[in-house]
Amino acid sequence: MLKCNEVSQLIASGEAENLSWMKRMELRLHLMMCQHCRRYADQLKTLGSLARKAFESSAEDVAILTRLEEKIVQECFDHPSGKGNAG
Amino acid sequence: MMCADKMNNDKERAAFADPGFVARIQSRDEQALRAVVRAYLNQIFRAARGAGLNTEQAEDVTQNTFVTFIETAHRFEGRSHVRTWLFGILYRKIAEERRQAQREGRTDDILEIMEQRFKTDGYWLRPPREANLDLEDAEIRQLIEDCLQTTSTQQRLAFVMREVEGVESKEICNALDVSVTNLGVLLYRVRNRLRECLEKWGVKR
Repeated sequence: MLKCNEVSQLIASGEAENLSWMKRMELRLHLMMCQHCRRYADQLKTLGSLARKAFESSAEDVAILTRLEEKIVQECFDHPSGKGNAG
Repeated sequence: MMCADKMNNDKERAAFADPGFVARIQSRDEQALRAVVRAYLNQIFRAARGAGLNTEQAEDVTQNTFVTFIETAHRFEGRSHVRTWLFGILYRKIAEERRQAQREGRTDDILEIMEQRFKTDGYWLRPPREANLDLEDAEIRQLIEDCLQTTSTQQRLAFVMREVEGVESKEICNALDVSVTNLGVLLYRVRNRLRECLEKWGVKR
């Protein structure tokens, strides 16, 4: 029987996605019975969607990206200077 | 729109893994290199910002990442995907900068915090509290950035690559040069750190 701290470990580390069938059932059963862990799991999921929303590209980014692309192309192809700052 | 994006990305990813294309990268074929820039500029820039850089810093490090990529393209062997290679360069650049600014390596007490949330029998002592996270986009970004202050570059990029870019574990491991087990530890720490922080914020509100 999984304990709450084990459940949080499986979910937060991502191990929950690669469990054996048996373990997966254990996890599902635990979540069915434990509202705390259910809330924990929900909050981690919310975190993901918040992050996606937060870092979604905005209209303003399009201008930045266009400018960046020009700068990179100019630095690398238009003016081959041979100054190697690799690494 | 997310779906169409993903489909295009998948097709593009496959085309870039083609041995013929890899050979063109190695020979520093301009058209091939420019195609890579165009394809991944957005993702690398977004990841740089997700890693906690402001817009200006993110622009700089993105530019440096691609310039380094182009200058060292002859060393690219195609053993990992070109996107993985780019994420790897980005990671090393950000880590290097943060080390210089001495912001890396602050003590990370999230494991202790988590330990205190459970009783010795493994069940919750202080269970997660209900938190209201109904926020405006700009607020979310600021909040996430604030919450990520004490996390390492590796943790942040692991989180952003996984949650925002939907990159598979194997590719994240390659880019950040960590084992699968290490990646689990990184994600465990950064997700709990964020959850603790957002919970505090959402309850207060």
